[in-house]
Amino acid sequence: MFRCRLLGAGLLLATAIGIAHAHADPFNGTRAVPADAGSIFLMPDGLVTRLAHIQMQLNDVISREFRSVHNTGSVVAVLTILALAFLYGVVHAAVPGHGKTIVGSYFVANRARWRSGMFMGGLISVLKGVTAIAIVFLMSLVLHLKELETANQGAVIGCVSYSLVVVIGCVVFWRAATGRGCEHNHQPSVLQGGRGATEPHNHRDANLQRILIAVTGVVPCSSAIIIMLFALANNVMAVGIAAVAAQSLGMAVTVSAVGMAGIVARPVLVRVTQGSGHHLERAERTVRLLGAVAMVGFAGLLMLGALSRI
Amino acid sequence: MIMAVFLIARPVPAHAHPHIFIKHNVAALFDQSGLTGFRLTWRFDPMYSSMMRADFVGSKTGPLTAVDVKALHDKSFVDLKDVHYFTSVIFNGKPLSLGVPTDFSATSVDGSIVYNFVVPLKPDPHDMRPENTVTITVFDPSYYVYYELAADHPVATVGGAKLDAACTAKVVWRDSIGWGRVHSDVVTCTFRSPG
Repeated sequence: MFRCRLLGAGLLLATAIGIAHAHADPFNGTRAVPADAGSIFLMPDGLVTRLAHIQMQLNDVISREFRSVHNTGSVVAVLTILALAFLYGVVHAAVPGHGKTIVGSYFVANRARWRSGMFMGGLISVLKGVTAIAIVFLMSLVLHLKELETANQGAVIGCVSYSLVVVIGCVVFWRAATGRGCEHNHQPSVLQGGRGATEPHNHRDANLQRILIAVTGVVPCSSAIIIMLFALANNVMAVGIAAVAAQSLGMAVTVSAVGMAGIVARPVLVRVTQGSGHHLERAERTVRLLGAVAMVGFAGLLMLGALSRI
Repeated sequence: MIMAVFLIARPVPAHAHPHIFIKHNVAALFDQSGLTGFRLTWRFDPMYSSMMRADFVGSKTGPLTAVDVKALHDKSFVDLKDVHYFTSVIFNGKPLSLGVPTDFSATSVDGSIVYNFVVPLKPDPHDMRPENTVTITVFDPSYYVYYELAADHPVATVGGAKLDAACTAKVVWRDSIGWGRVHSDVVTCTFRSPG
């Protein structure tokens, strides 16, 4: 049960540091200057402006509907909130920090059925929602932290969590490099297509998947915390929880899509690698190593990004 | 391979994706001596406003009191000098440093906190020309705060009629920290030198 202890220790650490620190938000009175440290992923020109504009509009409408629920108890307003929160989740998860790249590169590194991609993306997103709700309960309602500090707990937890993902990526790399725990040629070839591909037959791979889901999912989405706090401010906690659930489902759509893209990309990458004269087994191993390195790289960048916000 | 991953990556935004959305207005202020500064109005999104209210304001609803405004100013607004109020001004092609903001007020409008303040400017008389151009951008390159010009009266001039002052807004491409090129509003004002 070493992994459980490791995971438990990591989460405890994240929570402890999370309580100790407030995040550097330019308006929350922490007097911190946004640093330029770390790095993040290439975004297509102008995409983030469009996403931000859509989010701003959704933010306006959702908050208006929340006030309407508060004032009139309108069911239509509740349904509108849920639908918009779902949409918000889809859009919001498209920007970095929601586990997409980690899930995507994991599935490049590890052979899996498309269901696993959907499952992992979905579970991570749902967990993120659960963590957000738990943080609001703990930080705001129990510990009575300032709301702006509560909203920024994600940075600290993210830093610890992404460090653990770096470790997991290293484990995947080490296993690929040493040939442990990876699928060998006694399995149906991945080139036979999706149906030929197998679930991780190795228990360690399945365990690794579970740990990865827990570690990535425990990083809360700040937007979910903000929505939850807003619901509390309007005395409609139940609607807030439902809205966070809807938002998580929306994020699940986006993150799962990237997970499945990783699953689809894997055989293509193997074929390309094999095309340059490698044996199938070596091509598989190369792609596995590539996926592991991408995982470590992405998680490392996310960790640096989170670190600069603490 | 690790290098490759870092090569496709870019310097990181200090914060993740935008979490604060601000609709803003820009008014260029003039007196007989020329440009004196800009009056900026920032309208925070309702969700962030709610959190600001919870942390800095005594009441949950209703108008802000003088004590609330002072709390917002002292505990939140003053720290923005570290990020130069996300504002940059270029006068006749040269960057112009901002003075300490004056005339700060905060109100609560329809669930949104609205900041209103003046950024004083003192262009060097040597840089004055018969026809002057000043541009002002309110932009957070880390994209933690997303600024967008308000739909209603986004730009204005005050007291500049004698100098034929006029301001226009346009959208330009701008490099962000880690988010690729993004759109940003830029307000350009022109005015004649007095006398």
